[in-house]
Amino acid sequence: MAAANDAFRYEMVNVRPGYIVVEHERFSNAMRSYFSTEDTPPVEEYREGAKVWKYSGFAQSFRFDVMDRETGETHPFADLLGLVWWAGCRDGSEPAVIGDVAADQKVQVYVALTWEGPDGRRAPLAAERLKVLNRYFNERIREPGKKILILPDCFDLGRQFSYGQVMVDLGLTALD
Amino acid sequence: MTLDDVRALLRCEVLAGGDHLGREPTGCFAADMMSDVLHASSHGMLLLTGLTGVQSVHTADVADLAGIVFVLGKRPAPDVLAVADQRGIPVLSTAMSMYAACAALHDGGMA
Amino acid sequence: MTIREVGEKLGLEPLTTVPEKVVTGVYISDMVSDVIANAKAGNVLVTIQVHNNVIAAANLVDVAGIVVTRGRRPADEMLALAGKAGVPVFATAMDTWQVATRLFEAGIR
Repeated sequence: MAAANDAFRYEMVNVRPGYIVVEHERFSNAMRSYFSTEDTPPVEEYREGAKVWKYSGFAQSFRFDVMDRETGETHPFADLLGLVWWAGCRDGSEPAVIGDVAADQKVQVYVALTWEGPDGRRAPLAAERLKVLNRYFNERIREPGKKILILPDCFDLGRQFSYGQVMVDLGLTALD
Repeated sequence: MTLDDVRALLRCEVLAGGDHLGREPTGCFAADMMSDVLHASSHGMLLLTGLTGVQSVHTADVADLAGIVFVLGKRPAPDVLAVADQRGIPVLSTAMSMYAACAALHDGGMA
Repeated sequence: MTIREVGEKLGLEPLTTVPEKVVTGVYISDMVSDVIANAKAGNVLVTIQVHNNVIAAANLVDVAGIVVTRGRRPADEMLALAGKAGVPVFATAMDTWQVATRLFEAGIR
């Protein structure tokens, strides 16, 4: 298996499985989320100043870095929350329209969502790192003519996405 | 085939329940979705999974499975292993992928 | 072996059109995160998952096809997405272990 990987310039390294824990604030209904490696998130409400945060669910996901074999450099992607595929976006939304046009040319569009910072804002992935991520996935594609195009979140998807749209794992531990 | 044979075939590390490796699984069930395991596995089967949360051990306990093999070198947290030890559920870990593990077990005689 | 030949050999039920794609191996997982990190282009993905995100992940890593096991039926929406991704989807009554053993017997390593 290692031999097959040797053919590629980029490799996914430091894969850390974990959980996206989602919380909501009792009074304002504000949502926020964080990455945890524990599978037992806090279920109790807790107070933070005037706010009361309550656990509202979790999804399994992972974090990773991408290593460049040519330069030996490792690019961290800890700020990447997940990828949203154009076809999973609301009909008529910008990513859906762009993705549909691109798919006609065998280009499959994904949008890279990032974590919100402490100020509640989401800084999009920097272009240089997006290029690395695009190269990583594209150098593995076998289908002739097919391309993956991962775009920064210029669409403000970060404000309105649902976890069902992001490529994370939901419901694996549900027992019903 | 005993769990000790499984350990040898998949070159597993034994993480919990090492006293019960003489058990002979009645078959194999490969899944990460625990509701699927609960609904469709039957008593005495060996669970192959990549889901390392405590739910995997609870599910193996409730469904009365012979043991758990975690694939891709995954290892549950120590508190999960403690639960497995306490319930007498053997927990093994192999570096193999789920498919490689299934193939090796089938090749080794698991029906 | 192509994904079409795999489908015929195992008696899988095609739920989408099935293009000629060469199969490079098998990846078994119900986890989207595992598929993204570990599945290889051209792999047959064997899974019980019918969430739309399985298609999104399968498309990203360019799998040759998806086999949904144990008689689970994907929703029409998922099949429509599979069409947009050009990823064929099959159904089978066999469970994941049984499909794995049959793929192994078919010579796929």
